[in-house]
Amino acid sequence: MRIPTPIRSAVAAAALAAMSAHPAAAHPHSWIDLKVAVIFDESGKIKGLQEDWLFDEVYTTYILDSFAKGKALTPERFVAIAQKIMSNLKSYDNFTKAKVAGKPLALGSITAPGAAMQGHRFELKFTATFAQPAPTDGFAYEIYDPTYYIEMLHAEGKDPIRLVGAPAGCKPHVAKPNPSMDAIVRASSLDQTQTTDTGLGELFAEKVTISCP
Amino acid sequence: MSLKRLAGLAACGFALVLLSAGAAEAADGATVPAASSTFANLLGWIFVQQRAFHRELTQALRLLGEGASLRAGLWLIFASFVYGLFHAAGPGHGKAVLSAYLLTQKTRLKRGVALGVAASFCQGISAIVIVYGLIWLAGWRASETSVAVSWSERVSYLLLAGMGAFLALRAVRGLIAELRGSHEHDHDHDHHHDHGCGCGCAHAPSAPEIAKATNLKTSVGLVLSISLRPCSGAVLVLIFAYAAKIAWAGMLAVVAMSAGTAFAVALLALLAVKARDWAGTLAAGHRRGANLATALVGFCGGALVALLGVSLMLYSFGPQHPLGMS
Repeated sequence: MRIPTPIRSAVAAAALAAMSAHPAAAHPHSWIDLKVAVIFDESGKIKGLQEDWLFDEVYTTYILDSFAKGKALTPERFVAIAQKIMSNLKSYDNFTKAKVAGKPLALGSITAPGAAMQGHRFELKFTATFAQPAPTDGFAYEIYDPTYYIEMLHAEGKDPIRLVGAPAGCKPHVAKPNPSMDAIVRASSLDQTQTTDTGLGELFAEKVTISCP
Repeated sequence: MSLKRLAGLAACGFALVLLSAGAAEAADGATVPAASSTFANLLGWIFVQQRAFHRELTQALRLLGEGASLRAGLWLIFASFVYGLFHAAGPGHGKAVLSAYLLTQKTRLKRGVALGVAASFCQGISAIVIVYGLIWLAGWRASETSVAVSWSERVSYLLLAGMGAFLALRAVRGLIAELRGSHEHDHDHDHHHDHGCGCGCAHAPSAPEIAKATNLKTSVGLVLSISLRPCSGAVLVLIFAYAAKIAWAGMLAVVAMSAGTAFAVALLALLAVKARDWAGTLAAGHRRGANLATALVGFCGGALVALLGVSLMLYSFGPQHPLGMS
């Protein structure tokens, strides 16, 4: 017996609705404003990124409570929290993906993190140096949480991206994400998100390139 | 591939309804060059609104922490409601369960909408009960409650798996009854079986009673399985409000968020029931075929819900988010 098409469609839609429930496809629950300084060496190559993550107020409360475990928030404690966060982030490449001509750029050393409060918001700072300095031509970086639990965007307002020691006339460009429907649905489905690299986060990441004259 | 497109369209339709209902300035942002980028724009726009209203909500809470005022209270309620609305417009566990259920199990419109509204409010209430209950009654530290939340989630997944299996089994029974029924009497003579029984139970004798009882059971199971997995957005707001010593405002915000979510989910339920009814009428020409199809669809829906429960359960034991709630 043939199942009528509308019923098959209903089942298909239900199947998809069910698949999109995967936790990794969850819409963001917290937000980080990014400020990035792109550091150049003397030869005009990119050495690394100095990142400044500003957590939203609500998540700040959660993070401080869960990492400080009720102890007083002394400056030393802030540093300890930052170190714990960094060690958690290590296997995720610090949410930092840089590429040259589409090829991933390995991260080298990462500096000891700094942590402070900006008003009611927790701020985490660190510098990620690339294993090899990268040419500006074909360079691009994205900073994102692959699961999209946290949405990470460059801060609004002026100069969220600074170029430090760059040759004269170089400028950063931020490309807004515009993923296709297929990509979004694929990223939301169960089996695909088992690998950490293909979550919604990547699809909605801002991509920064640098152009020099 | 066509499956994926379909789901995308369904989600798109839902989002469009949300837009026309809830938001005014949507239209000028949405250019229509290709279906894909419109969908992405829409989703992106929803994410932007969500972030903006979350910020409003946070500011209103901060203001209330410095001293209660009616204005800040109203602001909080409004911001939380809209945040809930947009939060519900994205993909999520509760909506997936509900739409899988409503698309595959025969449900009256009123009941479908009621299920969505009940699930939304119960989800908010369960967040309040778990977080503040453990803080006040058991003396837990605020962020520790997320551990309890993750256990509550696992109960929800177990319930889902069980409920899915139950629905699938019920459909199989309906299928068997249907096949057996066709042996016992000739199909050509006018023998009407229209006694409001369409829940996959086909020709069972006391069908309305059985349907009523099992529908109530599955409804309760559905609402429970959704609400036992509180939204981590709500949990975070409660923890934040507690730290600012305005737990009452946190509860107010979560109830208002639930109202926003309920509004969005009720729309989804409406669409799902209508879509199913529409599919049903198209198939109604062939009574026996339609009955078989109902049972098959019911089985698929049940199997899906069960699969969802199992996979979410497995995933919940997987690696945790490096900065996330446990």
